Amino acid sequence: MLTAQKLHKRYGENIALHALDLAVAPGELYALLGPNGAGKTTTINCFLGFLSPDGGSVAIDGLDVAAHGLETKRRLAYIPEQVNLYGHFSGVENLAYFAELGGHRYEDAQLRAFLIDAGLQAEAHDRRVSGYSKGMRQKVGIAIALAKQAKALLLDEPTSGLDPSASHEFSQLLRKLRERGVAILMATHDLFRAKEDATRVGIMRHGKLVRELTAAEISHTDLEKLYLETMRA
Amino acid sequence: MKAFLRLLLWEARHLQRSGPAWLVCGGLLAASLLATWAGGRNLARHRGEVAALAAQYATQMETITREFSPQGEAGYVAYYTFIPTHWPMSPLAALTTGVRDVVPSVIWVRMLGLEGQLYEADLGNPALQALGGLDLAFVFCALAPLALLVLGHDAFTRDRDLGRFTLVAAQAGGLGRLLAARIGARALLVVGTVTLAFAGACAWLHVSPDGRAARWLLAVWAYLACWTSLAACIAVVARSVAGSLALALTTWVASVILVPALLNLALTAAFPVPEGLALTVHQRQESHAAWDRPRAETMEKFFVHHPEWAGTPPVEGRFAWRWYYAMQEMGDQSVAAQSQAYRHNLRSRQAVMTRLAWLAPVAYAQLALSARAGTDLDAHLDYLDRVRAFHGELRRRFYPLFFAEASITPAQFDLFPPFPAEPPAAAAPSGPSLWPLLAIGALAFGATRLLLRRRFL
Repeated sequence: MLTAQKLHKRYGENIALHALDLAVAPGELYALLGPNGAGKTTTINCFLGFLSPDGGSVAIDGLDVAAHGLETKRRLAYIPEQVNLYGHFSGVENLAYFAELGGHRYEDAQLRAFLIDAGLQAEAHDRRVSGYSKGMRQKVGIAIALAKQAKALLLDEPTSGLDPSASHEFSQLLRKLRERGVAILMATHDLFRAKEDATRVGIMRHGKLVRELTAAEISHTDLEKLYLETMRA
Repeated sequence: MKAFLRLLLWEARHLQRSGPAWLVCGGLLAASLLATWAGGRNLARHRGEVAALAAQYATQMETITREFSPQGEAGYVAYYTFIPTHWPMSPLAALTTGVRDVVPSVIWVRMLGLEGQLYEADLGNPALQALGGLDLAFVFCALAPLALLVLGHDAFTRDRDLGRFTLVAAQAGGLGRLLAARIGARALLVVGTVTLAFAGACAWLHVSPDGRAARWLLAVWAYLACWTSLAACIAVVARSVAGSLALALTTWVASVILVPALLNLALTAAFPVPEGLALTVHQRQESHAAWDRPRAETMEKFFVHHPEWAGTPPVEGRFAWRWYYAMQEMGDQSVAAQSQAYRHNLRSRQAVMTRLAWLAPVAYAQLALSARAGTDLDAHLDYLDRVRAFHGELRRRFYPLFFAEASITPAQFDLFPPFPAEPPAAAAPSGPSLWPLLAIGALAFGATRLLLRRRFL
């Protein structure tokens, strides 16, 4: 579903991605680990079409992002690290607006169902988002991704700032999406969440994918040890 | 299309919840109200002035009747009789002052040399006049684009600054569609406000909703369409709200103030126009110099232009009206070339300004609006031409009397014809084409599309 082949990206003299090969199948959650500047967000931005690769290619559902920008965007949902919404709209209105941007139109009850699925309490639905906490905004972001009903989901530090309970709810949600066949690529620093939620884990360093392993094959402790070893190498 | 309309409605809801949108539209409406009031006051003053002309003329003719009863020399009567001419002001002209605030709308003419009479005008308050008047055309040409830029410059940059642009861009199918909806909603708001202000002004000033008014409004829409594209271009090119606001204000100041002023300076230098006063002085000097010349010399020159009087007896004695009025006409003839150059260069300036529309859309739009309202330079020069023709008709009626050294009685005062105030309908100008404005808009639209293709992170 999500494939990167020999993906290369540089910012002036700095190489952000170097011959990155990556593939995420439908129903799979691939966690990209790595320190700041490793190239995780750049990879996601290449999938989103926000950045043009300097070499190689990225494809979604077999469609090259550079050649089919609009079609690939329709197949993608995205949740950034900070979900910033329109403060003068309520949660439902924000969801309706973003769904409309993505070309979807839902009845009010459906919109509220997405928000409930994302874990946002019903009493918050009609309140202006300017009064929401970061976690609540993150949940609206998740609802936006759900409402898009995309085949692939890109997550950039999605659990950053969420409390443990909300983080756990988010994991449940990702599991549901995987079961529906959604391919998920998640950039994260959260080793615990990566081990818990991912089917595969990739460790990036200096724009290269230096380790790739199956999450089931490794324990939390071993993953942390491996990560630290990779960073020190 | 339905999806785009729904998105447009969402953008309208954003604007509805935004304080600045209400403030900007309220300000635009307030400025329009003030301009309409000023236009209405000018219209009422002009109508009052024109309405008083008949009474003033009647009072003058009573005095002349008293002086020249039972009869008087035709030359004397013509010397003292002033006839009012006026350039009628349509209600639409109240919305577009054009050149009307710097040229006379009422000219009292008599049989003397004409050139000097054409440029006589009373300046009420030169300092205030230098600032220029407030009219609806100014509000629509200068302030409406500012409103559009203020509302539209941050169509993307606000999202960038508040960190939601990546989410918006990832969610939206194409950024072009989103930009079109955002700028479109703002443009519709400004155009709606402008149209509402126009409709209100029409109702207030009793502007008939005819083709001319419709073409006037169409010119405003075309002009705002041009600015809509420019606003879209600015929204795309800048990366932050501060940047887009600075770019928007710079564009506005350059387009609405600097470029038109520089263009005006350049055109004034390229097409020098003699002052009306210079023409007057030259004409008067020539007329006065004729007192010291042999009469036959003046009459010979006169006969070149009026061969029909060539066989008449020579002027004898100290004074003859036919000689006096020949001196006046020869004074006009002496500045005929300058007068021609004056009109030609004024028209050339306007023609070049029209061709340079792409440099100064605001100046072009002002030209288009004043042409449609009949208040532009062409309309003024046409009025002067009508006064010239009218003066020629006076000469044609009175020269036979002067050459016959006749006297006239008050019963013959209807020899003075009334000035035909209304120009023929066919002369109503359509004004400059709107295509240059639309072409500028299309260029800006093309640039916006190119800019949208850039990577935007």
